[in-house]
Amino acid sequence: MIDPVAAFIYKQLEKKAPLPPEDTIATYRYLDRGHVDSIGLIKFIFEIEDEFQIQFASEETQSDEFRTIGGLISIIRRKMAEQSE
Amino acid sequence: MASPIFSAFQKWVELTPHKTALSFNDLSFTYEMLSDSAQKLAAGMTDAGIKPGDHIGVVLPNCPEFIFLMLAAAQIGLAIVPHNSSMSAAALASAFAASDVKHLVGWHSVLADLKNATISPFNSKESVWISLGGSVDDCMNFSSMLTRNLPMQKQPDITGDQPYIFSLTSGSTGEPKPIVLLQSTKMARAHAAQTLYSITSNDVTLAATPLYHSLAERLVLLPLITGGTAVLMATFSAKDWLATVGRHNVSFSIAVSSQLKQILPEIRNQPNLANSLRCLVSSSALLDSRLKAELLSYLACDFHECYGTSEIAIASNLSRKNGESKLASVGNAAPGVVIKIIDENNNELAADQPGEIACNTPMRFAGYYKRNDLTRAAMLGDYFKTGDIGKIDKDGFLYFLGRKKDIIITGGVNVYPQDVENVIMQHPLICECAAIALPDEQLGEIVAVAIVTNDREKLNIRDLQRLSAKQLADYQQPRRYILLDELPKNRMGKVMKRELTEKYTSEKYDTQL
Repeated sequence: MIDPVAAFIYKQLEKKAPLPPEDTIATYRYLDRGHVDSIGLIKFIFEIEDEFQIQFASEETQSDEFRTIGGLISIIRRKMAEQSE
Repeated sequence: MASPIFSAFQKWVELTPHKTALSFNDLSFTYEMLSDSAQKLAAGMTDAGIKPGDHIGVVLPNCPEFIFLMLAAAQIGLAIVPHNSSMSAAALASAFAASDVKHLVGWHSVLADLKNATISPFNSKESVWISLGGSVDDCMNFSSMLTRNLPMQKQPDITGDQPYIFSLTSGSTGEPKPIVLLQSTKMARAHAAQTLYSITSNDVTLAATPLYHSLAERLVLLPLITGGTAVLMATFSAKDWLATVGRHNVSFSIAVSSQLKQILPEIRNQPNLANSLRCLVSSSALLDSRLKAELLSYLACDFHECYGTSEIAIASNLSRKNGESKLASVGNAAPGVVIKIIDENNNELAADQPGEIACNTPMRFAGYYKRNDLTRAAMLGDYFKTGDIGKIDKDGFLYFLGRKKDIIITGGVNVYPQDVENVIMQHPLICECAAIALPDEQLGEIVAVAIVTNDREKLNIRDLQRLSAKQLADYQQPRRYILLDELPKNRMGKVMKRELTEKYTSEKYDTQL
């Protein structure tokens, strides 16, 4: 069973374009590849914030970690864990 | 009579069945394969009860299946209504309703969202939903339709007058104005591009914008009806664009000027990757002259800039040679196009007099769907009034001076301020607002909103951003919020947007993302 954070991110990204194969998905640089472009980024960020009831800090959205799917999922999980503490 | 688009394509299927017609990522399709998939889809749709003349809503990412659908729709006389998947389900439903969409072809998760949306006017018994990428209850599966071997039924008679693509100009909350393009319009546009850019069957044409916009649709249809090869990118990044050009020996493309700005640094690093380009066209907005000069210093190919609107496609063309002597011009009339400048009383103006740009062209649209009032208002005899302000010099070169219509063009995509304003006004603390265009180095223009609130303390800009993210498509998102005590208005009470634009073009903003 795929975890809900990954499932949501995949779902949002797949609407825009097909995703790379499973084994490379975590390192896929979805921002650099234009999968989410600068026009779509704001909406993408707010959709994630809304879904998981979190709020990204600008250092997070500007970090290198945010630019890969794996990194983005880690940031979301970390923030969710911090909130439940 | 067979469909003009499908017949033109099928001619090349017979002549060059094994030639690559379409490349997408690592996939490639020969003319024969593409024709086979399109015909199977057409047979499956016919079998499911879809009839010639039906309107099909399309919400798909860039993918080969979109092209199968475009060809199948041409073959059996369907009108496709493509839309952006980033619109909310409610907005999609309303946009589709304005075009009398009966059936849907969409990415599975988008269809699932639409099914859950309570307003779904086209959710009737006769309505066929086709899902791609996964299964959705009560929907046909796109991929399985391609594996069935249904007998092809008798080909319906399809003429050039058959509506083929409804291009949606306005978004959701405003007034959707579907632009009707007939099969003959698409053919005329393809022929014009073929003549203007000397396209032949040897060309490899790259489409790197979303297929729900007419530019990419044209860039795919053009090679398919002229025997060339289409290369479709799933998404755009400057690095991938140049790598794709190099890898597929791309010889022709039309890029949005904001894309070319991003591509320049990549070409600077690896100019030889662009060696296969024979002709490159910049569209949407005029390129900055310094940027253009540098770009051309790396490119040995033919280079054009064009001016046009969705309703008329290309109006004027600026060739590389003319670009050197006619700086800042958007070129002279494209073949078959007559351009004139008119005053407020529709009288033609003399050379160098600024006024509204009007065009008479065989490429013009068939009207706004079910909006004869708007169509009539936009036409002056055979001339389409563009809503743009320009002048023509004594040599016949057109200069774009600004827009009469209140429209924001961000990254080549039209945003109607009303759509944005309607959403912002839903926030209880906003008394009034005005969406305006502000210049942006990368996107040409961005959406900014000047807002007036009745409670500065309580107003949280993030709430406005969240509201916009929920209800507006990605390209419609405001990038700047300007907090004001009141909006500047003229004596008639009309918001003076030009003043706002001028003031905030140079100033710092209250909120910057």
